[in-house]
Amino acid sequence: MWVWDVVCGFFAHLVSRSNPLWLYYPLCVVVAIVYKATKCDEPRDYAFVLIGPAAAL
Amino acid sequence: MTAPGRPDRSPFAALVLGWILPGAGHAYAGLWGKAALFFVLITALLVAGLVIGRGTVILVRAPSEGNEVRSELRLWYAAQVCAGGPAIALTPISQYIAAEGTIDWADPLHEMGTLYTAVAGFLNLLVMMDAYTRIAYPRRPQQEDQEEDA
Repeated sequence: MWVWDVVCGFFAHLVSRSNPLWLYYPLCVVVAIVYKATKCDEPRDYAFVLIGPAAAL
Repeated sequence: MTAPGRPDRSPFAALVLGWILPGAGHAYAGLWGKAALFFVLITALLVAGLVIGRGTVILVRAPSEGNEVRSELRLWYAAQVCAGGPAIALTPISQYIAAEGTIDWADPLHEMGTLYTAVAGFLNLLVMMDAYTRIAYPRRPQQEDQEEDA
């Protein structure tokens, strides 16, 4: 049972507010948008990063 | 929408303008939407990094009093300064704030702020190269490609 506790504790730490890892996520989103915008000409292509499958509709 | 071909424009000018102000290279190429997007995102990353790192992340050199010498700052600054004008404008502010107090180098938020500003620099490098290639090698409209294929 302790393995389960360790796994749960790990994921709980990942999403805890005190974890600075949260700051990686907006950074990754910005990097993805800039990278896609340099590759694509259609705004819907790089908007896909943010709004996902809804952009394909 | 394809990038408008601008054979009369210099790709090197786009490169330099893109360094002076993020997105200016694309504005020079006539791509105003992309220019605005890049300016907002890269400047926002720089400012966010500065705020997250409590203002002490864009440093040319460590403040002498109360802080040990840190040679790796030059490497971080080399990455940050790729963001051009905004990074250079924020440098004296950061130096001033750092000189006012001591820096906790082990603080994860300080590291994250440094990373944000360095990534902003690397992204601007990518944006500058994109502006350069869009003028040096303009893309043809898709319609022309389709007509040639047919």
